[in-house]
Amino acid sequence: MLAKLSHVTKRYGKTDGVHDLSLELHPGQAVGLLGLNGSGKTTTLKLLAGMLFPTQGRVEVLGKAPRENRGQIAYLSDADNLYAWMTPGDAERFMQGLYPDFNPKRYRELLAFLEVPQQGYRSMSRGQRARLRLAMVLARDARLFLLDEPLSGIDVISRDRILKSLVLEWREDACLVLSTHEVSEAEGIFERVLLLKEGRLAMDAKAEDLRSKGQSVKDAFIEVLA
Amino acid sequence: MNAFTTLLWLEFRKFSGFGLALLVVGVLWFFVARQFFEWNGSNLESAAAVFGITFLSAFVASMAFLVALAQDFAREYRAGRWALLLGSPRPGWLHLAVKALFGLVVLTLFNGGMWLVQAFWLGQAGVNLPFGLGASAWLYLLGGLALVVPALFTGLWIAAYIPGKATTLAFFIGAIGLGQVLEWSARLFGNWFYELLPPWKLPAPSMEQNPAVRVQWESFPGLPTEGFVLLAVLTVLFFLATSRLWQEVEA
Repeated sequence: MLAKLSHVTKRYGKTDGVHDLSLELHPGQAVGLLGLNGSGKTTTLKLLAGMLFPTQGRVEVLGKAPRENRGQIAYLSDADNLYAWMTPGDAERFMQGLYPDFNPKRYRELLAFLEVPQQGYRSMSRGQRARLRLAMVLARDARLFLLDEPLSGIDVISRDRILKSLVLEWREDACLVLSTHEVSEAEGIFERVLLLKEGRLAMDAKAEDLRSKGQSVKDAFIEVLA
Repeated sequence: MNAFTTLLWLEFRKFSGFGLALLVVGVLWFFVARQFFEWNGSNLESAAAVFGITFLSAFVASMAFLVALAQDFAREYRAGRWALLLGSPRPGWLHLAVKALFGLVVLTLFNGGMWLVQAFWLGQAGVNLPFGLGASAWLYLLGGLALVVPALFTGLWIAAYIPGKATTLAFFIGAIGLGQVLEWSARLFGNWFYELLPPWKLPAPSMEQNPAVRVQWESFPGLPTEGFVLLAVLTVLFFLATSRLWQEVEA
């Protein structure tokens, strides 16, 4: 087992971001974390990344608290959070200095594949920015990849390239958790689907099982969450 | 790539505009000081004015820089960049040590530069420096170190609490409260603490050329260093506390 949430509740004031959430993540899995806005997707990913601490319950990544195992976790925030002056070259320097598992060769290959231009972050389009940030994360040799809405608000071509890069970077010793609203476009890469509703786990199913019942992930999404 | 040099590079890139502004202030002051002597004449009044304005501008620019450093914590949080920094397996104290070192180096260079400009024009006016250059560099270095204290202190609060209306109020109340506690502590333990310190003093001024100024400066016994040592100790304590909080802060 790679990561585990045991009866985790995260409270923001009087509101629960997630409530009594339990799940396990295993190596080799590509997990789709789906849910409507405010369902707790970002909170779940941040808890796994060690960016948030649970109010109740326990989060473990490879047997330790996530903050103690940061070297094994690659987290892509949904925020447009890179420094405006950074070029892809600056980003490489930044990642090499702060993340010992960063692989510059793979990063350059990803930049080429994702067609990220060699220009400043501020002058890039939204899709180009998303692709650059994804290349920075995927170039790490981490075990747990947590991608928060990497497909949100970007053009079809960028979305397609991002999904292809995720398939190409697939590793059997790693687990990929991807949260998205773009269910129909991303469902081809999910092996397992977690549906969150109002901070609770509404469904945990294998995509294959859904398909064998004649249901797509999108159908299950609509059925459970609507 | 080394984490220390990467973080230092990051600070330089973030504050390159501010650094350039400080450089412009220093260069401008060089020419303004010269003009000042030309307009007002090379007399003791002009020298005192140049001396005073240099100190005031160095203080204001230093405080503005420290506020900018502290604000940077909050700006990075709002931009979601803490996720980039906190996600790194590098220790939290390294992030803060680099910020503190960067602030110290910039302030020391700026204040040292302002001191040299002042010394040059005072020398041209026949007034020698009240302190030797080495002693003055030390003074400014320690002064810079002392000024890092409020920056780290502010960082501590901002790291502990997400900035907002309620937390801003809490910050001011907390800062005033802690300031009061520090004052009481200084009163209670001050004498005891000073007795433990070695009797170092920055050298008394010496005036070679201008007898009128010499009389005034020679009555000044030199600057006590105890305050600087106390501030250095506080800096270390705040640094440790802030580093600890950095490990537990949420992004």
